[in-house]
Amino acid sequence: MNGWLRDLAMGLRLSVGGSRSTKTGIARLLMSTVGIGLAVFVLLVAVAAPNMLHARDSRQTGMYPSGEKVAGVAPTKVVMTSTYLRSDRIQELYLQGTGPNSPKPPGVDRLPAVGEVMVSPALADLLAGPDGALFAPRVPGRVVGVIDKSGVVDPGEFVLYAGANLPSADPEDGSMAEEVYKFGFRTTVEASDPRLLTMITVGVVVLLFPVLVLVAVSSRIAGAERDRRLAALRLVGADRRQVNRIAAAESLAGSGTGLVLGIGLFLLFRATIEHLRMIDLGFYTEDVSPPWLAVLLVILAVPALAVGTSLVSLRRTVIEPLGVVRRAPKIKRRLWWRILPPAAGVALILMVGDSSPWGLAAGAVLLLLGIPLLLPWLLDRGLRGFRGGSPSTQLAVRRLQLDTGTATRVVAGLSVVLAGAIAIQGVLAAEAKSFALPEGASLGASVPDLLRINPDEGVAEQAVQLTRGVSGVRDVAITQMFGVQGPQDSYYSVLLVDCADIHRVLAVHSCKDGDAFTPTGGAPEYSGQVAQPVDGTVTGADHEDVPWHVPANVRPAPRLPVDPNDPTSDSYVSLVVTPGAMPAKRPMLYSTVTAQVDPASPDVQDRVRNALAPLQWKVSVSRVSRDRLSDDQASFLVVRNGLLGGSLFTLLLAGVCLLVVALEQMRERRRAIAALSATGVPIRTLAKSILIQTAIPVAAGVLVAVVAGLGLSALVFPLVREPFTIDWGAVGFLSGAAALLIIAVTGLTLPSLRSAARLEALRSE
Amino acid sequence: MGTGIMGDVVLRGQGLRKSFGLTHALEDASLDVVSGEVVAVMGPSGSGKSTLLHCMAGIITPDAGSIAYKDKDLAKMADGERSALRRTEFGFVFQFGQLVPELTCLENVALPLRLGRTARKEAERQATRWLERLEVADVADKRPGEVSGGQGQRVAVARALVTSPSVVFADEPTGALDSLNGELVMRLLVDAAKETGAGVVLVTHEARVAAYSDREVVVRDGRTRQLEPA
Amino acid sequence: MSIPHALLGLLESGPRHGYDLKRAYDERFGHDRPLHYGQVYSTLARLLKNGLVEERGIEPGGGPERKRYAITDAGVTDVDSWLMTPEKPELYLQNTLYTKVVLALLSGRSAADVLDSQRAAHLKTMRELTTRKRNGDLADQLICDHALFHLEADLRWLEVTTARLDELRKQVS
Repeated sequence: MNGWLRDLAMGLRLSVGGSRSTKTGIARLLMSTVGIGLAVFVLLVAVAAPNMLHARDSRQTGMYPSGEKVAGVAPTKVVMTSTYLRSDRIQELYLQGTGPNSPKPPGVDRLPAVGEVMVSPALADLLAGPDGALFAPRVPGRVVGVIDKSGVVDPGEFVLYAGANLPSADPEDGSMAEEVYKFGFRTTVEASDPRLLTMITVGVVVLLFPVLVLVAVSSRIAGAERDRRLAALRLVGADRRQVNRIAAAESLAGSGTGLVLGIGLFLLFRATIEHLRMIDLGFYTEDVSPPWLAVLLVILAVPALAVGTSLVSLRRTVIEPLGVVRRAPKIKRRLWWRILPPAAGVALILMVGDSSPWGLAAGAVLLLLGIPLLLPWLLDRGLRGFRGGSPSTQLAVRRLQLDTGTATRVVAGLSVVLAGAIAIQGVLAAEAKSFALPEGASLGASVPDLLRINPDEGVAEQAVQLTRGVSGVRDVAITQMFGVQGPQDSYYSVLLVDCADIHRVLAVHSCKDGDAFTPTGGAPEYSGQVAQPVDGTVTGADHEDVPWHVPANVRPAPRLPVDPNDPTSDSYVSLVVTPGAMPAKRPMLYSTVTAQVDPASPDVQDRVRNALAPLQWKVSVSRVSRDRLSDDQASFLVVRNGLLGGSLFTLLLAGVCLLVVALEQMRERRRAIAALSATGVPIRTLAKSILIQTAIPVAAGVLVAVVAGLGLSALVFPLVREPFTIDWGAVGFLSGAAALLIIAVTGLTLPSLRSAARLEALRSE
Repeated sequence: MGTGIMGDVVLRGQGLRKSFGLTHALEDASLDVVSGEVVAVMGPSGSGKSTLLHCMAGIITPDAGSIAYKDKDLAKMADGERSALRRTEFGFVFQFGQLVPELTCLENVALPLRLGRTARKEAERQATRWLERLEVADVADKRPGEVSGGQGQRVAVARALVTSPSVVFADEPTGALDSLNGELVMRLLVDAAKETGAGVVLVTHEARVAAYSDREVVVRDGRTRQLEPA
Repeated sequence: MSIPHALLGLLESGPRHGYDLKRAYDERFGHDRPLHYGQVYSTLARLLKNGLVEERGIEPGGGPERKRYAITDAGVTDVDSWLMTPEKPELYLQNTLYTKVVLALLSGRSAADVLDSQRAAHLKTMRELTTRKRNGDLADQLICDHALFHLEADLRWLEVTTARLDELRKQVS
């Protein structure tokens, strides 16, 4: 036991001091530190994630208002609305208690009285800050308190509770107010969307795999140098087992610094998480509290993995006192067991994927794990017996035939990531279709040039007046519409327009009050979806149903080529009527006030909102921008960009690994390279061989990734009832990035190739 | 100066001068390489023998002096031209580590021909012939790491001679070998060179190796000195 | 080279005539200098006197050349002890070359030239030996190698001395 400890101590000393003089030594320690640090960090976040999500979930459900009557409780009337300050969303809750025991929303100890306002910490900061003045006019009262964390789901969230006199909450009459008997309710976890679960599981695997590869590769960095060092130890009398222990201790050193880095990163992450927003989730520092057992497991497992891979790599080399003998006769790679996991994965998806989301996820993971198993076999198979080719090809292929191991391991990791990304991309691409993402949509902040104001019944005129006075507003128009309920759940919208304004909608030559038109030609965005106007019922202004008859004098009229910003163009308008064609009993009208604003006028949007502030909850303002993106579309883009970014990051990691491998090979071959170059072999030939040597495994990896990724999404699509789509853009993007990577790695090895080709290396000793 | 009875001067270096930083590796060195003749370049370590060889072979450019290969001045050639010359007209044998470790011995020998666009089959046929000539045909399919030092050097000699070069540069070709293997390599190298009519520049510090030469040039402090037997 | 011991050694494989003995000797060791008959017989006479060899059956016709000689037990012991006694390593402290170099230095002549011409001569001999070695059989090779290694050692001395001539000049003057 004592001897063991001595060996370990020796290994530790060697890893720190053993090669301090050389750049390799430092690079080696740095690489393994970063690799293991990242692994530890990712794993710690992964084990912390369930608690984080749970904490956030319970905050969120704590805010859900429940309208279910509770005996003896006087309900609280609530109107939930929101506004924007520039592009920040502010959640507003107008509250009015109806009795002494009326429920309070979480985070406050009493309900705000009329004229009182409570704000979330972030909003309080905002009000105190330079932007406070811009928002102050909209604060419906005096700020009397700050909402506690339990009432704010995400740390940076802007929430405002305001006391108000709210109308009676009759759910039948379309009032915005609702009666709430309780805030917060326990929900059982909703049955997960199999698609989501698969995506998340695949995502986690995709994230973890390259990290594991990185750990494995980092322990192999500068392996040749380490082997020489160990050989020197054998020479002075260390036996094989001692050498193994010393090697283990060496990789343990990298694990140690890596652990420190990983834990440091995790603590940093924990400390700054309140300022981070991931997709749409925010967390408090105390949410990030992984279970200690899991933390302990991670702290033990990662070094164990590093030591394990280092020992496994030693298994194939025999360190003798006078040097290192690589076990030349390679193990022949067999196919049958390598095909098992992916086959099992496919079978699992086909058999139980339909009914069990877990089966689907497990199948997907098995399929992905097949890649690192199959890739070495494929490369071996593809390269076996290869003799021909140009000299540079021959050099590259021979090198790969001799040792596909390291390069393949790196590329396999890359391949898993790409396959996962392609599969998720595929699912996302289908989503993108259903989101009708505009061509070339991006997440850039868009300047609105049109504001749409939806006033409550009765305040439409007032809203128009208030808006007109704001500087930067060019034109304010009001549109009135109502819906017709036809037979068999059919529904269409009717637009009410004066003859004076009809030219804005339809290309008609003549119009007199009482006319009615069916628009033809279709709005470009919704063509084919406009129903034929038929008789039906409408809701009257008094909330009673009123029969509706299509006017007899209706005639077709071509729609104007529409400005996409025109509010009348994006409705399912099947009928345009003038006021004279309305029945005596007027239907309930939905008014939309549209304000054309000067996009160049700063903060015009906020000034409009401020002008409308007296109307409080009775009005909501939304932005219409040219390339408008719904929240769903935006979060889709976030996920997509995140995926692509993550894939690029892993590509980069893989690139670093490949570079390390290439540079190390170069170092080992210095003399041969110098001799070749002296013999007159052009550098070009040597560079080409490095290019091919990098390109072959990467190309194989990308190919396998594309096949596996598309295969996986093809398997998953029928289960989620989406038509199978291939996101060729993403495939092309990732393949292109891989190609760039090959070129970059080759380019970066050139300086070292050049220096190796210089004759210094020829000087004997 | 000993043009000797052998043949014509194929490579003539005159008044060569080369410094690396403050070190004057060559001060005033001259060397004639005659076809079919082995010239030994001797001298203490650091005297500039390897630099002389590298200059003569066009691996490095001298600061002054001329190197004429069949009436062309190497110093005036572009790098690419010199590379091509080295590939086609010169052969090289170094002390060790010159074989590409992942290619088989046969492929190593065939490599220079393949770089000269000879078809693989033909290149390997010629390579096999040279391996046989150097009595190492049995290791053709082995990788350099799997053969002995002497065998490896003989493979290297085969690689140097496979293009039928006019000049073979051998820089301490036996330096890493024991006497017996060293002498075997020398015997085969000299015989093969004589047979093909190649001139050999043999840099060595071992007199017994130099004894395989026809003529000796001593380099001292960057200057050459032709010794004439009394 | 000790001729008596060489002859004794040759007799160990069996009795021989003096003439055979000379032929056997010349074949194996006599490349540089074949033995004279007289040398053989005088040596054998001395060995006979010392009891290291004995005569075995004189064939008819008489004359020394008809005698067969055989080694005695004492002779075998003598060969034994000769083989096992190492040769005294010879130290050439008063080597002629050293004398020449010092004299050249003292007289202001070029000692380097003295060394170089010696060097050229050495290498010339080495070349001849190498050529002979390459064309000869194993025995030739071994003998030539022996000479070559000695010459190489001399040559190294020449090299080292050339490198240290300046130092030497200071000391002798």
